[in-house]
Amino acid sequence: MDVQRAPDEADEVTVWDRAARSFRLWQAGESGALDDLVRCLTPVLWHVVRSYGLDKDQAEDVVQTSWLTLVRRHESIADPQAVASWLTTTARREAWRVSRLDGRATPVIDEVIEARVPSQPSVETEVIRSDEGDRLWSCVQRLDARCRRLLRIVAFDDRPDYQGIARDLGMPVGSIGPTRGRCLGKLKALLGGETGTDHE
Amino acid sequence: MSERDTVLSDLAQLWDQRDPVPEDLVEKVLVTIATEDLDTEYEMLHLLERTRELSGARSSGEALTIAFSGGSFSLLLRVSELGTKHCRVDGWVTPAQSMRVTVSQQDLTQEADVDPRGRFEIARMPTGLTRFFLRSSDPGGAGDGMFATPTFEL
Repeated sequence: MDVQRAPDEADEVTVWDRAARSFRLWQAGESGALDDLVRCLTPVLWHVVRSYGLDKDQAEDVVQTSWLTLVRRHESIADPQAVASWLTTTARREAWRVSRLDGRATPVIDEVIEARVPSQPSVETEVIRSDEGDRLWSCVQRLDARCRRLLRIVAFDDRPDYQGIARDLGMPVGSIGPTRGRCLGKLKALLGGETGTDHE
Repeated sequence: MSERDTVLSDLAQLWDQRDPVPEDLVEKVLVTIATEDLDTEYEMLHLLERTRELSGARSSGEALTIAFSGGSFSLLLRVSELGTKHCRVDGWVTPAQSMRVTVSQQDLTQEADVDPRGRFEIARMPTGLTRFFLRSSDPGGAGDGMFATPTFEL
């Protein structure tokens, strides 16, 4: 399934707000609201977890475990508005733990990912979009692994927990913001430098 | 809206295309939540690997081997096709111990005993999203663990 993310900040906020609303409804006793919450945030969790280099089975396990943790511990979430942050933080922690546990995790090999992508779009506009995507993708591959992970997390996590991410990446917390800006800067430079010196 | 947000949004779309969420993951999560017994803290096993192999010459289907582990406990399942919608499951737990196994699917649960040598069998069950729960039936014995698999496709 797809995450529908319009290129518009208002819509990004909506994912977090939609999650908070479903969570409140569920806590108020509307059991179906939990399904909405799961549909809304599972795609976000998938991308956050995969950025830790877990293989597909490991990533699915971590996503399932994170949801069970929510169901068991939801009463400890003081601010329902923060449910999405709480979940992504839980998933990141578990992904980090699993990635260090058995030493099986390898950085996600992008050639493998590439091989799973169905190619041959039939409509011309899709071809153009796919060309643009290929160009962006090849630039992303030229970033170092740390930049790739950080950008993937912040691309899906609207309110990233910099402290936890800093620990996972082995960086001082104060350097995450600048690193994020530097990674985006590098990416833009690779894309052709049209945007000049845009920085955080 | 800043340039930075546009790029992040493009990146999110790109990752969605190149490494999409597995189609059945939401469904798996829903089954996991629905089948969990919240009064009991099971230790979650992790899916180690799935291997498909051609089974013996006399049988037509493929056999699927699925391995789970958690700490010092492990569970191995060997799944044989029975037609297209059912299967037989032979299981082994390590370390060997008497246990009660519960197989949970969306609308169905089945139980079986694990013998002291760690073996059990489910002679016939529907294919689909499934979870296995195991609890020691030998309280006070060597193992008194309670384990659950994540939801997986049989």
